[in-house]
Amino acid sequence: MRWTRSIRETPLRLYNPCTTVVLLSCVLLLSPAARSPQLAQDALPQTTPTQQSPPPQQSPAEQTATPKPVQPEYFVLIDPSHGGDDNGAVLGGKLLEKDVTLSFAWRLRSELENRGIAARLLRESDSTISLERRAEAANAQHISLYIALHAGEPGEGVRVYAPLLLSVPPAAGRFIPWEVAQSGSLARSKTFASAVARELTKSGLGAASLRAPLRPLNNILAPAIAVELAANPEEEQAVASARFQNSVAASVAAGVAKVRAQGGQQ
Amino acid sequence: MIPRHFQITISLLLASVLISGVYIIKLTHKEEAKNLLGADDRPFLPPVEGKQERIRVLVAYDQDRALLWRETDTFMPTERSLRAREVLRAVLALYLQKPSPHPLGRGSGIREVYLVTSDTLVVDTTPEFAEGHPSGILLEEMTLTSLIETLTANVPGINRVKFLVDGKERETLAGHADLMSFYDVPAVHELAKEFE
Repeated sequence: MRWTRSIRETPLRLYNPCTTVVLLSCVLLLSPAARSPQLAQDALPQTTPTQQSPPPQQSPAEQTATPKPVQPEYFVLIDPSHGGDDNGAVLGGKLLEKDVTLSFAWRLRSELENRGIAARLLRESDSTISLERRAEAANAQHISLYIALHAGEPGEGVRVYAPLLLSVPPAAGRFIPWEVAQSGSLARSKTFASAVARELTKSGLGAASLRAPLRPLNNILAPAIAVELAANPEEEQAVASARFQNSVAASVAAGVAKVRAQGGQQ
Repeated sequence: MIPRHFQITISLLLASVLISGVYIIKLTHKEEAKNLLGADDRPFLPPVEGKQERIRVLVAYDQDRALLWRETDTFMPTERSLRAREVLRAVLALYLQKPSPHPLGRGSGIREVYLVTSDTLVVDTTPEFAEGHPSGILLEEMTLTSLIETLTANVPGINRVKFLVDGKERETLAGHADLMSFYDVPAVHELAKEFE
């Protein structure tokens, strides 16, 4: 029949169910929705200070012409905790922790880079990243310091946390258990936390230096700390203010720079 | 003419049907009589041995960001896992009252406590315990520290504690405090010192 012949002669043979399934699978796999949440790990840290917004998109020609940036020896990974489906704490009934941590992360990155310390954000947008994935990203990049950012009630000022291992790490061996991956860097984490808390106190921001079994801090091989902006329930907007965040970011960066200058010892 | 062996088989079948029928009628009458007398009054659970005791509870106070020891009276069974369950329920009861020093979500509770080994305890909490818990590093740490410290103060010999939510593992309590790991009691003692 003529109708049958015309279909058979179709070059892609789309009428074939198998071909259709294969083509549909390819389209689904290549679509952005099918990919996992984009970590900001592809963008290697800038060695020069940058503004507080993501860099503009480059044209394909520029992308091919740009040489691959070299990873600096010392860089800090800033993790704005929560994001995407995970709002974190709801401060004062309306302010989301995930938004506060992201805006603070950009400010901290800028302050670190002003002091010549390369820094990178683990997430640059409102994306969902699991705690396991955060630790994996940090461990894969051989970072010098991991800073998790949080915001929470109650209190005022800033709380700086060093990791607290929940179980005793086993004797030295070939493999390190995931739950105590931090054990080798615990002393340096405490050094960073103390230095940051000291700088915050010096700036009159009111800082408490604490320890906590937080995830993913205990799963990270490098020194790791958490900085929590404490929100007073009556003035919850204060933690989101640029003035407060800039002061905290400057003190945290100063603390990190001091420890770095002293070779990690203090 | 019906064969003899066929007659015998039919007779036996009829007799068995008749006997079964009589037996079923007797059983039915017996059950009806039992229902008429009232519900089964045998205990659903075996009686728990124990007595009212004054226990020490480490209470979290959000306003002061501190944990303080207090005393409360509660029924304490002698069996260790039941004792652990009652201790934890006593702590949560303090947080669920109004006004509360450390408010938790409505429905927060302890479903069951399992003594896995002589020193390892697994605590299964209700879904509301995690879903309704306020999110925040400090608040979550205070809850877990308060529970574990109170537990070890009243049930000696516990060295490791793990929390489940609705029978399943959960990454964090409300986005911060680790629930995947076992909590070593010495580490929790250190954590408690932070809140003194």
